[in-house]
Amino acid sequence: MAVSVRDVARRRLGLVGAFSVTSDLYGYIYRDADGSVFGTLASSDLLPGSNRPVTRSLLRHLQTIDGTAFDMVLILVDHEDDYTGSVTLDQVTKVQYAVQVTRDLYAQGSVGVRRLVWQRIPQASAGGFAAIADRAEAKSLSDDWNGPGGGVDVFLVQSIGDADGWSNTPGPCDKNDTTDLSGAVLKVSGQRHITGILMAHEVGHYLGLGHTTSVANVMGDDSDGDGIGRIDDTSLALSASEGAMMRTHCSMS
Amino acid sequence: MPSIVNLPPERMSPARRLLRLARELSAEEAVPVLLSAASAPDASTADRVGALYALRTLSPPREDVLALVRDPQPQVRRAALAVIEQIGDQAALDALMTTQPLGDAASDRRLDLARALIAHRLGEDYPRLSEAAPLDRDLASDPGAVDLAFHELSSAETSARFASLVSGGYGLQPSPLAHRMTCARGEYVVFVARQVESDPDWVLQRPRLAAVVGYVLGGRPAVQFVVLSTPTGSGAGLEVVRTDGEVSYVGSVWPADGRLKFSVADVGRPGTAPTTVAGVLAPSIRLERGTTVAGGASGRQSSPVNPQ
Repeated sequence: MAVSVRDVARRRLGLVGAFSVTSDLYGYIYRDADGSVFGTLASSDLLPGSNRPVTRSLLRHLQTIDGTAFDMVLILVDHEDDYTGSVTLDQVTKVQYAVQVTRDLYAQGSVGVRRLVWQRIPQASAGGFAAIADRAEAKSLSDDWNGPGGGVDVFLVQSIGDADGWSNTPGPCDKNDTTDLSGAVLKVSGQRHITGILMAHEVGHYLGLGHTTSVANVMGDDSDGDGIGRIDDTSLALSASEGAMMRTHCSMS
Repeated sequence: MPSIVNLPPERMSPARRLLRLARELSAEEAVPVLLSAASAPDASTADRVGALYALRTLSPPREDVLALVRDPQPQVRRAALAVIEQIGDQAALDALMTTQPLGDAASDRRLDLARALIAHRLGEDYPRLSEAAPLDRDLASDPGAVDLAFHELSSAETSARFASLVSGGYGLQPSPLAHRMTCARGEYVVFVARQVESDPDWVLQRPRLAAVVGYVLGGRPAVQFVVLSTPTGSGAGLEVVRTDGEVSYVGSVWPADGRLKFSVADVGRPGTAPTTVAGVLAPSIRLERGTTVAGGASGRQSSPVNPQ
């Protein structure tokens, strides 16, 4: 069935008139000095959907955001727009790459990442939250800060002492519910491709997925039952049943 | 739930390789490895901070960590203070008391917490961290009110839970029986100092580190709050302080009818769920009532970016 870019953009994102496919439809609003939205790639940086460095399918993107999808609120912790905070230009393009990896992985389960809502916690207000010590500090961060609207808050920090990412399973839709972690927290100091898998993994938790016993799955290997999901470059599979589970989360529309 | 990225060593930074190596060593062997990673001038800030956080449970030499409290990088300063909070003795307190302001508000708040925490652990006077008073509200009538649930852990469970604190236990000697506290969706473990139960005067006569409260996620707790008590007349004031130095709840403890009673309530800060807890600390710990309002805490709103 034919898919109209303008039709999907209008119905799903409220875009009318002239708009940019990259910044308005995909939500990739940053470019590095070379004009790349994904920054400087390593040889191992391949998008899962195409197995090429930067090639992405517009048709698949339109299909997924026109189906059951959610908005992602990307919160850059300790960020100033002129990059005088902790977050660098290289990191924001890395986050865009990570989102595309996440989109490619979630497409396997017919789940779309529809709108990217870019937010920041200014340096003057970020306290010590750029470097998270452990799960308790991750919770303190999500207690203190909320992104707008009904999207899933994804806090992007420089480091986490006791893991590479944290999330609840499932996460709440009421961001004022501070009795438990109310967003996914992940570090952006890793490499591009693995940061994307990490993002898909943590947001996957938020959307209701638990760990698996296969490192080949996005949700990682916890076959030793210690509660820690181990992922690597090969953690790329997402099953139809996992997609179905994610689509039941309250943040989906 | 937590995730760990497993990459082959050749794809890790040198400091990251040191961190991984340290996990496979005994504490005695790991400390110098982690200290070298924390102090490495060419290591990334993330790796240096990671090494320091790993040192929280390993009792590194005090002087080496104190030197990093004055590091030019604020994240390193705060991580070094997090280590000192665990191991700090009188000499560390003396050094911190003469440390000049560190230059950023978050580090200075953390410095204040480190001083207060060590002073309370040593039974020394230290000014209260906040003048905030508990909010006096009838939470039970709020439509979103949820009762807290309190469950006594066995001695074996308590020992295992305390040993599993990823943050370290702040030098507390816990009561043999800790309590699991369920707060709507959240799960916590409350470790009260063993001296509170055995000698009520202990908490009434000197400033004390009275308890630590661990937040449980991914099967293990990490301390989110430390509870500092300060004598006030016939009782003591309580400050429940988040590990970044934010005073979140305050209250008091007082003797009554041969028991030591307590109550705390939130101070109304954004992001902290409205909560009241009251009960008995001695001769045995018991929760008499606890109420929170899930969804009742409006956190601060993040700001839109303006790409440049």
